[in-house]
Amino acid sequence: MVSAEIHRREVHGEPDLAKEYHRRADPLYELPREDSREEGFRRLNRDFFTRLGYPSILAETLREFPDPPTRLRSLWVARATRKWDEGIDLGANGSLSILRLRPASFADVPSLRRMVRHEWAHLCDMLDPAFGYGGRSLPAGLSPPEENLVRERYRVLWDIRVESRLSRLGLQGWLTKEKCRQAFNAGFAKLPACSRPPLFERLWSFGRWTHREILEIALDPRGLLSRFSDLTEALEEEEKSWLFGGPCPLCSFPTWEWETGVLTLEDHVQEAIRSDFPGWRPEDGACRRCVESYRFRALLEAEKPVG
Amino acid sequence: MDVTRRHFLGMVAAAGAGSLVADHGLALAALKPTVQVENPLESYPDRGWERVYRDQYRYDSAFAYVCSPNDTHACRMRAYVRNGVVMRIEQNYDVDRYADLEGNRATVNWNPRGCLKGYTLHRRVYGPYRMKYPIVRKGWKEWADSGFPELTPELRSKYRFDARGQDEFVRLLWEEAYTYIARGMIAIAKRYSGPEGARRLRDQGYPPEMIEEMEGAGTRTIKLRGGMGLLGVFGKYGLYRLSNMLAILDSLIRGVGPDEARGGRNWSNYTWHGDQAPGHPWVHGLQTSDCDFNDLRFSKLIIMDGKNLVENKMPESHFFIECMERGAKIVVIAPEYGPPSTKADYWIPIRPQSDTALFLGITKILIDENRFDVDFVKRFTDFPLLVRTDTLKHLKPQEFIPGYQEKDISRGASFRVQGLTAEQQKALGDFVVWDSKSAGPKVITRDDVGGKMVAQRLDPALEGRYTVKTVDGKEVEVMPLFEMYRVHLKDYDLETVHQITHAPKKLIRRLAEDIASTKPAAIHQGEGINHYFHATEINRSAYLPMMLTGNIGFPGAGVHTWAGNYKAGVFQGSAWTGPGFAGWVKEDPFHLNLDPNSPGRDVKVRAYAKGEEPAYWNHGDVPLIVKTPRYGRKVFTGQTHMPSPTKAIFFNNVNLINNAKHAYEMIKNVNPGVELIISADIQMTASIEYADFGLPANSWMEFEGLEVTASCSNPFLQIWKGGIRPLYDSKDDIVILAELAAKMSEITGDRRFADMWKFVLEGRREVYIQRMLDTSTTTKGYKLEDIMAGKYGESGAALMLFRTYPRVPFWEQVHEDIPFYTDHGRLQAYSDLDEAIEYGENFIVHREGPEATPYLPNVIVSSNPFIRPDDYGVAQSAEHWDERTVRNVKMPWSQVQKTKNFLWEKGYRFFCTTPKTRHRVHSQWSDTDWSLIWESNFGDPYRMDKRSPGVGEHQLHINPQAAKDLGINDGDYVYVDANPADRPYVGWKPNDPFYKVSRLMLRAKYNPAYPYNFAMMKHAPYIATERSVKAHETRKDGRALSAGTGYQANLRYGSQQSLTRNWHMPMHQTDTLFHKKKAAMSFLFGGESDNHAINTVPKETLVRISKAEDGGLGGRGVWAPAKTGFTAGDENDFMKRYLEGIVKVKKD
Repeated sequence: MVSAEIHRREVHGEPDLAKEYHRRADPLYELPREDSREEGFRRLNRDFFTRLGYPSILAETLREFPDPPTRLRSLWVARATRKWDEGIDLGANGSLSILRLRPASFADVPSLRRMVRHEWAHLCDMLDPAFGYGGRSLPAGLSPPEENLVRERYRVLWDIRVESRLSRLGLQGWLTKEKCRQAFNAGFAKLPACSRPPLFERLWSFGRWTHREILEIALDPRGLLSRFSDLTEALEEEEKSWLFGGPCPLCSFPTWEWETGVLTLEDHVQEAIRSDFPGWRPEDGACRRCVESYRFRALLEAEKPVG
Repeated sequence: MDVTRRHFLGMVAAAGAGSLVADHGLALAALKPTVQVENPLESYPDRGWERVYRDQYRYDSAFAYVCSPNDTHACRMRAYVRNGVVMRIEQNYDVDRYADLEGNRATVNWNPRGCLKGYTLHRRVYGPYRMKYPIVRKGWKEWADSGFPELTPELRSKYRFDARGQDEFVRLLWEEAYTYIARGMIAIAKRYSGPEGARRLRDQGYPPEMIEEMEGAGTRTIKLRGGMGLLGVFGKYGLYRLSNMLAILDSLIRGVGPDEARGGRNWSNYTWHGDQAPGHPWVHGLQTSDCDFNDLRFSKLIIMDGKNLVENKMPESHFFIECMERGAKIVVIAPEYGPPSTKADYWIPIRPQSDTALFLGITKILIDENRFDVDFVKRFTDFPLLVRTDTLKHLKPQEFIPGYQEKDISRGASFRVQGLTAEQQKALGDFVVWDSKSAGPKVITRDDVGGKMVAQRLDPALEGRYTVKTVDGKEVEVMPLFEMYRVHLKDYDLETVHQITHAPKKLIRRLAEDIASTKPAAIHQGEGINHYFHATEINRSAYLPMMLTGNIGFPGAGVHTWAGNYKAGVFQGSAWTGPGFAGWVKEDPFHLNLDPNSPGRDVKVRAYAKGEEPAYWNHGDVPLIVKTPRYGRKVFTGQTHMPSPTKAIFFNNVNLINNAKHAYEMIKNVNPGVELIISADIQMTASIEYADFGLPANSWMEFEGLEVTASCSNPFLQIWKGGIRPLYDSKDDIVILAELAAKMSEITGDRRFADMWKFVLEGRREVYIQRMLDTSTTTKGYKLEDIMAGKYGESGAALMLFRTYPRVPFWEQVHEDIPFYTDHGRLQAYSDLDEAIEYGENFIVHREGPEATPYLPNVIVSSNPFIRPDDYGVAQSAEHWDERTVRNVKMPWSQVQKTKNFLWEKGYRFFCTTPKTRHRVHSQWSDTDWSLIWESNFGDPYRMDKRSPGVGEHQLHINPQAAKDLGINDGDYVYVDANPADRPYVGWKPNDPFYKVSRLMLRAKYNPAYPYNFAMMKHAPYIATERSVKAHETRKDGRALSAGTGYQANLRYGSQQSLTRNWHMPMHQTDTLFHKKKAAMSFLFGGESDNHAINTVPKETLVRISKAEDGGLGGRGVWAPAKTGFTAGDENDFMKRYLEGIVKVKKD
């Protein structure tokens, strides 16, 4: 990271730092003991890390927040080896946290700042008694796909809370408002399309949802509509959309393969389905396998060629 | 790219402590040194712990036993015992000492023998899944206690015959178990005997042909299956002796004498497994051609066609791999780039089930370019025989020679060596060639092969069209078969073969060149081939290049197959030795030889039991009968194959129901009609969960008396007993059968049942063993006590008395001019049987499968005018599986290409194969923890993902791009579905709870070795059952461990048998095929189970694959290993560069 930045500055017309770095680094190669060499380089790189101003980037970013969490006693910065390992972990008693970053992330300081803000804002929520994080968990009995969906919705709502707060502070977060809107539309596709834009705007401007409220909405998105009396009419216009990974109403297996032509199914196939599922309507949907089985069965029952 | 949120979101689930940082204080405390040592050499506090390490190999005693699963090896292993417990198992390194009566010794190169299965047997023996005592299903017991009332639909439900999987089991004492079973068998035999029994069966809907087949005997409804009998000739095959014994029961029930009495039906093993190469009897008349494994090293060209010796023949695969360093060329033909391909000089990728076209293409090249051995072809094959172009039959001498009588060959090899009878010779007749020297037709007999034909100064023509005037004055055209093949092969030019097979033209050409120029050459076909519906044609076609180049009957040459230790024929009887193996399984129960000192050849043999294919039970308990538009109701199953209705099933050492194709159909729709199911096994299996009785048998290392085995792939006779006491209330298989028979004597008052097992009951089973040794062609002269005393090297071991070591099939034919076991004594490229002509398979021809094809199901690819199949008027749009099975439509490839398979059109676009596993044999070892961990990419002893049914789980291999196109990530759970009309079972409905049990869901694993439209899962895992599904859905730990039975499933839902079904291949069911009996030097026409019979074909399956659940822990996100960048299909840049060879390794 250090040498990459020095090199970048060198090619942009700032050779002094590179010269100094090499002047101090070259003798280290002459050291006879390997461990001495390594220690020398470690010290050298730490010096330059500071001189390049990296530690202050993090400190400045965290100072942008008006109300730092008082319970937190220390924040450690550690190296992440993979991109998806980057982020903040909170210690069990809430007084210690670790920020994991990849060295490569320092190459793009604005992006680094946005990411740290985003993570830090989440951490602040977790330590904010008003947010009430961790008070309630997912209910038992959800299938893995359902659980995934709830988590995804939770993530979207929490991100909206965090990013809108950063926006109100005049800070640029990791996600733009537009990105948040897209995520909301994807995660809450079950809601009527006409209701989604006003809902998103209210979520963005309100921004004080608690953990418990977010979880309830994630579990039952329709509940979000009922919170706004002027939007409840939209409930009646709810569009049919079948969730990937949701259970087929016939076989109850989670399915990613909904029968796309279910609304225009042949009458005899519909009848065959209703003979086993009297209350079933095409709008309820069905997986491809189930529909196909009724179609095949009707065909075979018409003709039995076995002697 | 979003920042990962799992640190936060993980906490939503409250239990998210896993993402929190550990308490540092605790960690540091844990690191404190416990003991301060200045100088460890001077003072060391306590070295006692080292004894644990030093002592781990200490043992009190050791013993050798034979690991005898159905993998054809039968390795002798050595178990080391400490405090009465087997601590470890090792290879015995003994084979170099094995000798025969003449002092020949086995080569040291066989050593070492034994694999990881053998090493882990003690994990099975001491594991938690053993059968510990006899059990009976509660509902069945209530039925018995109620006096076995006739089972109406209501009573079937009352006694839970239609819900076996939800019933409970009750513990029994052995005496009680024998009593119940004996009473049950007697009740069933009585109920279905005579006219009243026939009426009942008619009422139940059985076709008349099946009922007639019983000849009035209710005992014919009792089906017995000794689980791969050769694995324990006395205990396992003993079930067939029990079956023969049932003739006594029949005689008592119906009051008939021995001439009319009938025993049970003996269910097959080899063909039932789909392991036989069904085309072999069509070529040479022998059940199977297989050589000893150490013959492989003689090959200079060794072609593996659908054979995976590396994974499936672990102890002996080195003989194949050695070919690399011995300078042989190795060729692999397979759709996937599998383990054997890594050893190959070149791999020919091929579209599944198109191998026949490949071999026909190679044959065409060899013939067109005159690259064949004319002398061998004329001497040993049917290519010179004349065929009438009008009838497609061989020209017979009596057709053009007035008053012709068959030549007298009664002093020749056919009669004197092979046991041909005069009646058979009359039925076969003599044959005709066109003699080039005299320019006219000449008669030859089946003895006129090889030098014997040459001695007649005949030079049969291979080419030309001739006219013969028949005795009725007609002029008919005849052609040597060779000439007809020139016409036939016009459909198989290089370009067409390439289009059919997808094999590169260059490689097809190269293989033809190699076969033409290399000797000895061998083709080895595995069950990978035999599991195709048209395996018959693939097997036959593989012989063509070998027949043309004279690569038969020499070391390192031939066409062979190994899959399953089927070969009762290694204990073959003969006119000069006595009955051999038949003396054990077919001893006449009405004329028992009870003199222990009587020579074995004095044992009277009579078959009261009859072989039968379980395939019929597996097909709704019916034969192949189709209502055809042209002929109405047509029975395709030959009379010699005809099954009888199934009312009782008794099997040992096999997981019959688990391993049945279409298993859930059996459980749901067929077995409710079966009134008694008995399984004897060492472990709790799905078959026992769906049986009425579970009987605990001793394991190989617990045997209390001697047992015998041998093999189709090595020359070793193996006799052994166990070395530890049985752990539970279990018994030797043979003892279970003998004591059951004794109970029948007690109940009926007829002592012949017990007498049938007299020497077992007296603890002298050695009498039976010695009788078999005395009367088998391969063991005559051996004394059991000598063998056990180690006279032939190792106690219990000796070499079978084969004529050559290694054993080379057809050595006698080629070197001593003995006829092959066919009609005409020659290797057969053509069949003029009525059935073969009708089905369009008189020539060896490529057909698409009835299901596993993108094209018209079952179409014959040919324009040959000498192929004239009957389609019976079945429409090309017909979708029923039996209609597709019998429809014979001929088209040239140019037309076939334009046809479609309706299933392919509906998205069923994956060929799905279920080959043998690396670390199991069928389903054995499927609950062994170590095997489960090794067997898949999802083995995890900690079960971090609680969805895993056990410490491992089954997986589907799929091409990464194909999976990605379906939105499936590496490691995701997927559904695999086949034709919804009949799978997982006929009549399934989405709301049937059993559908949930039976629909296959398993992990997908990216594997770029597999082509795009190809998926693979290893076969015979422990299937999901009603109890196991309930278990994993309700247990806290999520294990698929059945409550009440302790059965451990390998899958959450379904199994590979959710996809497979039985197919009644017509060519497997003729009454006319002439061939050698499997265990005697004699011949028969038509069916014999394990020999010419339905060979099951699990590969005849097209599937559709769809995503079910995310593969990440607990169903969240992507399976973690797939995110590392180092897994197939998800490689990161570094890995890609590494695979491309760009990463340089620094050398100091």
